[in-house]
Amino acid sequence: MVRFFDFNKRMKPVIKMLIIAMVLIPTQSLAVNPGEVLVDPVLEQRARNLSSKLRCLVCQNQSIDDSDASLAKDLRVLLRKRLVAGDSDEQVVDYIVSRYGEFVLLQPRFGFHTLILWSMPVALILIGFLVLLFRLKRRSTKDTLNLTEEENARITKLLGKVD
Amino acid sequence: MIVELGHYTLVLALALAMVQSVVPVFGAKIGHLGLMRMANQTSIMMAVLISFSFGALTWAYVNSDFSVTNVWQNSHSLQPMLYKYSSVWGNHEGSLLLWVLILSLFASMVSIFGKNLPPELKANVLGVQAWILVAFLSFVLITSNPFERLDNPPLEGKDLNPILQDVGLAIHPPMLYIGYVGLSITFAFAMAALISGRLDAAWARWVRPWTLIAWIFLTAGIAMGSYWAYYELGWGGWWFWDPVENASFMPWLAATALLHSALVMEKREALKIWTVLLAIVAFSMSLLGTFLVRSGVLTSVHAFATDPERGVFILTILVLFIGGSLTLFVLRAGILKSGGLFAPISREGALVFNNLFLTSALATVLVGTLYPLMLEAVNGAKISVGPPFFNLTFGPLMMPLLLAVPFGPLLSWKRGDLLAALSHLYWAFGAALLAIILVIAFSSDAPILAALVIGLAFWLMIGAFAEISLRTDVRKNGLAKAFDRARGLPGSTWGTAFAHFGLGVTLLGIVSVSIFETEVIKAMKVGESATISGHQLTLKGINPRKASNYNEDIINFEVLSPKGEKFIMRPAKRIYTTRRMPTTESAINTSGFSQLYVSLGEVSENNLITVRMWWKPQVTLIWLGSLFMMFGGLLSLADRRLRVGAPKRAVKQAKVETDVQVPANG
Amino acid sequence: MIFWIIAVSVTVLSIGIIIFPIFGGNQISVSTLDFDKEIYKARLKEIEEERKLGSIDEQRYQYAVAEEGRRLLTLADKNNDLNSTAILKSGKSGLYGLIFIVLVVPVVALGGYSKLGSITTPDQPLQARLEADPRSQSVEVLLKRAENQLIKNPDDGRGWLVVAPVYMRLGRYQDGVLAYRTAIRILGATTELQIALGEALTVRGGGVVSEEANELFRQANKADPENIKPMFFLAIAFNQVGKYEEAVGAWNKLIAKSSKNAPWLKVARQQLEVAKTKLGIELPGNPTTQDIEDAKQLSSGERTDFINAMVEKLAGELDENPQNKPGWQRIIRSYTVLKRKADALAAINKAQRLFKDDKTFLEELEKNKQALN
Repeated sequence: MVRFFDFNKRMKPVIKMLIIAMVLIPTQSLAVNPGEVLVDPVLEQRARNLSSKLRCLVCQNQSIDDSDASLAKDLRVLLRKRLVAGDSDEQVVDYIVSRYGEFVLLQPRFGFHTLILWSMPVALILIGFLVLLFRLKRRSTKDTLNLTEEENARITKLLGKVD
Repeated sequence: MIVELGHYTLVLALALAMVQSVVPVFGAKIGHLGLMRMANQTSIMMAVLISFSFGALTWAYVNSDFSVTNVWQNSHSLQPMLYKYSSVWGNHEGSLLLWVLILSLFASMVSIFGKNLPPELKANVLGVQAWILVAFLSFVLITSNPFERLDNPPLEGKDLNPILQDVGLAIHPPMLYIGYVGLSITFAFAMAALISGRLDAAWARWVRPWTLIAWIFLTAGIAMGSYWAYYELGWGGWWFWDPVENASFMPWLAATALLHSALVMEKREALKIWTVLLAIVAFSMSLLGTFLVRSGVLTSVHAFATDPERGVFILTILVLFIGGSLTLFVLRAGILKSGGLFAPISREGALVFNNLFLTSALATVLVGTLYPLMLEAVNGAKISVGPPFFNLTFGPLMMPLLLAVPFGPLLSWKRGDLLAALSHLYWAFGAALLAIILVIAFSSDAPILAALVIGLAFWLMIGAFAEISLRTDVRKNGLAKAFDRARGLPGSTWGTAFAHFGLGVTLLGIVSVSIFETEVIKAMKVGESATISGHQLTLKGINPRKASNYNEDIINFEVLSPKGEKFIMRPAKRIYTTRRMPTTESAINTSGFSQLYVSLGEVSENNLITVRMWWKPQVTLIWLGSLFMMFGGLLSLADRRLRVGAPKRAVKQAKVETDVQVPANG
Repeated sequence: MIFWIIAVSVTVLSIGIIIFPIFGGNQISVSTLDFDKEIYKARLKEIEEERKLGSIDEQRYQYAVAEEGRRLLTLADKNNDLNSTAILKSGKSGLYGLIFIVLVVPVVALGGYSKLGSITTPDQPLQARLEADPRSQSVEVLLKRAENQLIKNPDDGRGWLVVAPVYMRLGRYQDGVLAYRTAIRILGATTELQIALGEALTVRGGGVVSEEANELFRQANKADPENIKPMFFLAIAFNQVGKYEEAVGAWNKLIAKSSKNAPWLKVARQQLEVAKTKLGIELPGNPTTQDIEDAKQLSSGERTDFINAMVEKLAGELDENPQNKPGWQRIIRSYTVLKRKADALAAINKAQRLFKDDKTFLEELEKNKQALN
């Protein structure tokens, strides 16, 4: 049988059996190990924040913070080393992007290639409002008049002898 | 022979579906009542045949008939009985058969309960359902046949994927599928309306119960899935913005929008074109949810190439149904006249506002999910779109909508009064303000934004009942009379209140767990303790245990809660013997609405166990909220006003009579 | 045959049921407008209720009523224009439908199934297969039955002893090892069981006597010094870890204790020769002490990989330097243990050509060959 999915790596959290149904499997265990944790709590917090925004390259849509793949671990350690060395968050991210490409960012950068992606929500709301404004302007909301005698008679006739 | 008969009845069902997709539609076109009516019998017959087929496959699973390839690949003779049943749909082929079964059951429900539908509409609806059935049955039989056989059956199966051996899996997929398939009915109604060119308030009224059913089950399916992922995957997250999750969330967003717009259409005959479009979109999202996820295309474009037969088939079905229905929509939408007029500030206006934001959110999720794929196809660049993106876009989109929710039911149709509505919301406003002040006062580290969102949650929860308090008005009417009036309120009013209340509850759960959650990771030995949010956990020991198809090491923790209660938590590491696959079973202890969550990492050589502990304040509210939403849906569904009588079958005559008929007495 | 009878009856029945309404009598003709009237009445009731509850005031009530009423009137007008009444038509249309159904259903159903189905494959539920007459059953089925018994009654030590050798014979060494282990846990360690487990471990390890197996053999040897088997494996182990002096001693002792025509004598003599040679020179192709140290660290799966790697290494060395009799013996044995029959045969053929003159070796090779077939 041909497998639909490439599941050599641990599966992403999933809800769906849809996907899982045919999965080969992931082993589960935990991501960040106690051994990796930095002594300085502020630095560690920064590290955790950053790592939740970086993708584990060999996993499915999973951050390196969640993954226990060895590559994810390498990245976590690398990131912490840079932080300890005094890099700013931005510098760390730039450094990692320069090594692994933009694919590593779970939140893509704003740029020409992501213009549609980022502008979508705002643009849709704006367009929606404009369309509504345009359409509502054209209509006036005069209240309907009451039924005339004649209309009432027709309805009664239509319904037969209604209760 | 049972298995082969099951296979045969499935093929026979396909034959009937082919007939069904042509004859009733033809009958409706030429006005031949007999040809239309045969759709009823056919859809019931198809449901019977497919049920038999599904039963045959289930029989093979329960009796471990490994001469059926599908059974051999996905089950084991030693599985507990429950998982033998759930194994039936715990795989690609079987789950599609379940899909088809639900589709045929829905179609037969339309023919049984649809007595109040005009014959042409009903014939067209059943005909369109049969198109879907033909497509899916062919897909199952040609590319994913669960009835393939083995000549020399092995004595043992390969077992079901261990993470699927869970009660969650037994319930979650059928729920979700009922939701997906329920939307196929709204789709069929939309197509039927476009075919016949007749679309009005009556249509919306007939469609609404079906949309509600689909919506209730979708809500249940998503919530179940989220909770299942939460406890089964063992990393404490409940929503990951994973493409697979998004695939089930998008139909829900579309269905929610559809529920609201159908309301406008039913009462005011406005938004007709929009509602039909939403019905098409909602089902398209279901198809996408079922198929794109299955084809693996979301993960990687290359996965598509690994199984070209299925891939091409899936693509064809998607193009035919989504493309075809949109084409028909474009061709026929022009003949639909728009109906009642309304002012921007009105019930209709509020519902339009709702739809604008819901569909924008839907589009955002859709584009976010597919964007990496499209970009790679266009210029080969690989980017990722993950949770930070969705949190940053979807979140803000929801805020104005949630803020507006309590206003909706308080505005009158056609022309509303915003100030008057606001004056009925002072309780909600007060509660929200109080919550914000309390959060800021008592929790120094909570960001202001979090406090505001908690305020929003209370605004939603209290505001949800503003309409009811307005209608009953205890102070004016006194308790007894107010109670009477409350009972007299239509089910859908109560339904709306509960659904909106549930939304607030879920929001409260989400904020509090994401802001106040604490986490401790520690490598522990037997006898060591760790402390998290006042709970002291002591690792007492390790108990090995053997179950029928796995072995496990249960790690016993004695927990001392801040209130001084003592209890035992037992996370475990399992090895499933057939697949030699390890899994982690987390342990969860619920107190109040909060949960203590313990999960295990690696066990190192010197018996150090990595333990990850979370204190998740108010986390259960997330799912509790969805229960309220479902309950609201049920109340609304039970609204007796939704039921429309069928014309009385008084005139039993073959003679043509076009004029006045004797009406039913309601 | 029964299948086809049922299939055809189901098909005919289905056709009968679905074509019945086409010509069924007693049908009423209803106008779409009737349904619209029902909706109108329901809506009107709703508006009435809302007024009673005070949700809408009198004026709004009037407007709503007017709106609903006009909607109904418009529909009634349209209805008259289009005459959209469903009527019971007799004659041709129904007949066409009927013909279509009668043609399509049997052709698609019977034709489709003949193409897709496997009518000749009977149902084979596991229980029935296991309960069939034992005399006609394969070892696998019998084993499965025994396994099921053991699942119900896992503390049946004798049962484990029964299945263990069967596992070994079927090549399911891992299961064999587990069965022996369980038997020892339940029945207690006897010398025989220790030997059996040690042997199973060695076979599973592809002939490498692991530390654990070695310990088992040592205990067995202590308890029963006259038993040849533990002595044999201990000697092999000495050879494997490169303790050639001890090996020579052990082999000599074993040969001395064996009867003249004991079947293991040949191997013992060869191994003795190997050990002796080793004491002089290191023949190429043997695992180094380092290799063996490495092998001890591995899990069983990894060990299999490791052994495979060792075999490949040896094969390479034999290619370069074919005049290495112990090397050929070892590689043939390895291939046999690893069930690589084709490779084993190829190696035997090659060795037969290389050592044309060595009569005893040729005989041994022939025997290996027969054993393989």
